[in-house]
Amino acid sequence: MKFLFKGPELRRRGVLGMNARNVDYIQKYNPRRSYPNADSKMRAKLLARRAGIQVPELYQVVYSIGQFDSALENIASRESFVIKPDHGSGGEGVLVLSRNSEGVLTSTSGTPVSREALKIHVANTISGLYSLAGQPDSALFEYKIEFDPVFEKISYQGVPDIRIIVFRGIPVLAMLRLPTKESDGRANLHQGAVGVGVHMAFGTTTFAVFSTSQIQEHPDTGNPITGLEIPHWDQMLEIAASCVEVFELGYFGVDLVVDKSRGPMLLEVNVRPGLAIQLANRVGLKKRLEVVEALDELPTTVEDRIKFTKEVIAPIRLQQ
Amino acid sequence: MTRSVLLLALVLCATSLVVLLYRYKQLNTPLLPSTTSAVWKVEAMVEIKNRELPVRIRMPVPSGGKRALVVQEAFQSSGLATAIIGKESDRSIVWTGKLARDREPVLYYWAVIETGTRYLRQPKKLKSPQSVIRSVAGSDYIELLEKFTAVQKEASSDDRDLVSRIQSLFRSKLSNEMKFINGITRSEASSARLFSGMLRLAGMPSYTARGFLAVKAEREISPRYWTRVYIDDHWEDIFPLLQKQPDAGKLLFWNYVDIARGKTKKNTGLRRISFAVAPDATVVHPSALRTGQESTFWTIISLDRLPVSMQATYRVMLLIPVGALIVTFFRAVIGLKTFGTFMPILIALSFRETGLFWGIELLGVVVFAGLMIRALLSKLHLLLVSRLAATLSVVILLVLAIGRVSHVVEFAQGYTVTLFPIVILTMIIERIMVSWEETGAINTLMLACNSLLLAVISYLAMMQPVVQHIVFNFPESILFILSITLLLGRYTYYRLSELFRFRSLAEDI
Repeated sequence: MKFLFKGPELRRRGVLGMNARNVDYIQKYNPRRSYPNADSKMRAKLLARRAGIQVPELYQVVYSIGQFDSALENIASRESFVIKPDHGSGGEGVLVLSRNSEGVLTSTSGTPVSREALKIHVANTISGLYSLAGQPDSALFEYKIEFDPVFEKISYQGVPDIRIIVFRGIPVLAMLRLPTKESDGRANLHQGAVGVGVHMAFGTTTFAVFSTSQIQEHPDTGNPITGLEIPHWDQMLEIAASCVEVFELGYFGVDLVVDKSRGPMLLEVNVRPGLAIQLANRVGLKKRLEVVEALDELPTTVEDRIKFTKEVIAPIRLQQ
Repeated sequence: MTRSVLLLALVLCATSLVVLLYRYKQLNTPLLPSTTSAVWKVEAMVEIKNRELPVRIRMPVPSGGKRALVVQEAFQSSGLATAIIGKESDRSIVWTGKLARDREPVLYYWAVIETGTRYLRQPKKLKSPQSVIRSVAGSDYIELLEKFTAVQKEASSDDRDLVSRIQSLFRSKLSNEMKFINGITRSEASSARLFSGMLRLAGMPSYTARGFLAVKAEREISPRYWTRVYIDDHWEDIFPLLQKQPDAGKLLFWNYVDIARGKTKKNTGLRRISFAVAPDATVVHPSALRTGQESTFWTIISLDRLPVSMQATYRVMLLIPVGALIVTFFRAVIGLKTFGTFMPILIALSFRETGLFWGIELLGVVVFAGLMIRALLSKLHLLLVSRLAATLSVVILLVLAIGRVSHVVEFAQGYTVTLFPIVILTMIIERIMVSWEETGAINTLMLACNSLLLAVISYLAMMQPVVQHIVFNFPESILFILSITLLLGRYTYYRLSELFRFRSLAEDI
């Protein structure tokens, strides 16, 4: 029961709580009209592409179930693809498919997925089963990331991604999210993925949390997950730092993936990034946010922002 | 921003309290509900002797009309021609005809009655005191009693003294010539009538009333008879045989006429009438406002002037902000995660109909059975909307089945399950199912338990008589709730759950 009295200590260390995140950052810095830029994955994709940010290629959009058959025909030549709801959240409703040697579509675990089951999934997506407020949605068929071999040893099925929290254009905190058996291939911490803290200056992994406990190795593969170097780290920081103008948001998280052949890509933008990232990094987010908030003049170029991140933000740790 | 919220909250809070206090002072609405229930349900069970023979049963019922103490009434006719005849204080229910073959030989009349006797007026037609005495004690004693009352009147200092002097006749040792009264005092009805007759001989307005003395719920209660007398500009209720008079707030007035008078020429085929009473929590204390004051701005917002059926709606409506406040508190301060934001309130409201224990049982049964069927539906690969619609139909059938089965096994709570919000149940089932598939069993069970916990807490809070009394009689208290809700909206401290979640960050490693 000692934890009940830890409030002042958490506050001193600059740990950000959900209420404060909602009121002091999300509501204050994110204009409502910009929410769709992030909430719609398709819109985010279009905006990012226009700004020259690399995104997974969009093959097909299915607005109504009548388009399903032609959509499936159009992507018949693709070896693999991902179906996701345009307005999904928390990785719900994401289906990763690839063809096996016989050309049959299978899920990440290798079980065949029938055309009928696929159609039902798409129909459910369109009717809003996975969308934020249950409103009608559309289903996106897009490029399936072939992730960098660095991550092969430290993730179980699914695609590992890198979440960077950006505040007023400045990347402040990052985490590598590794799918596990428990998370069923998804990279969301509350579904059982591993969160790995990332040093903002060097792109090396620091701590790791699985569920609520600190770990050193991946729970399924047993390989070490701290002390690794994330490939293309500077490029990722560049993407994160250039997002503020693209999405017109003040406080948000970007989810990035590293493709084997194409390098870092922007997967999606999140207006309500979770707070578990603090546990993975053992860093109080509020402390870093306050430094940025106190700035009279924000760095305007991407280079200056990254410089600020590396020189001022990265050294801010929990115990200070 | 924070400052304007604080300011607004302060203004709302102050407005609410000022209006509340003003209305409390001005209109005398009690701030707390009275400890004894002010509204009781009375059930008259009329048993029929022989179901083969035609019956004609006439039973006096509580007075209706504008200033009636009756809040609601209902009856069961079991296939007989039934009517409530007469008006105001002279009303009766009449059942005539032959009982349908498949019916129980029992008829019911229910009424929800306010306690107290404040609206009662003297019956229009009163027999002369002499004829009352004649019918109770016989004509031989009229002269004796006339003399007795005259002596008492002479000796008494004031009206109250006179009443107690005459009343002493029923309770103390009597002289030989008055011994006859002992025979009369065996019956409460006769002594009440004799008492009122003697009071009228002494020149005091008086009459007898019939009803019940409601103290606690009773399955079998006998009608009581008492005397009303006009002393010091108001009517008082006196049971002549009792030393200590019961609180008038516990009296349920039924009628001036004998209620259970079964064996009269008017009734054929009646075996007996029995009564049961129970406090009725669903109708809250009707405040002093209803006594017919002038409408002013302050009385316009008094909801207890509305018809009772409308009151019931407002009563439920005004409880919703209370539930919402609790949900907000548990979200922002405790950090409890539930299915849907306001689903717990809706569950809590449905518990009002069933009671907590059966509410949880019924909810559990319906949701569990619904989940089973939903799991089957899931195998059919239906579209979302059709699946929801199918689940909805299944839920309705389940609710119907539970209702019918409990009717057959005579389990009363079954009826009320139909009032469970069916669409809400369907959504609960769907949410549980999706959450189960997406986030696993443990997480889902946790969410379900949290939702139920919050529903129970909101229910318990909303069912507090004090809470119900205040939000209904002082709707301005909603502004107070609003101000707290606003403040909670700017609460940026850690949630209790986060203190646990982030506890490792408070320690060095």
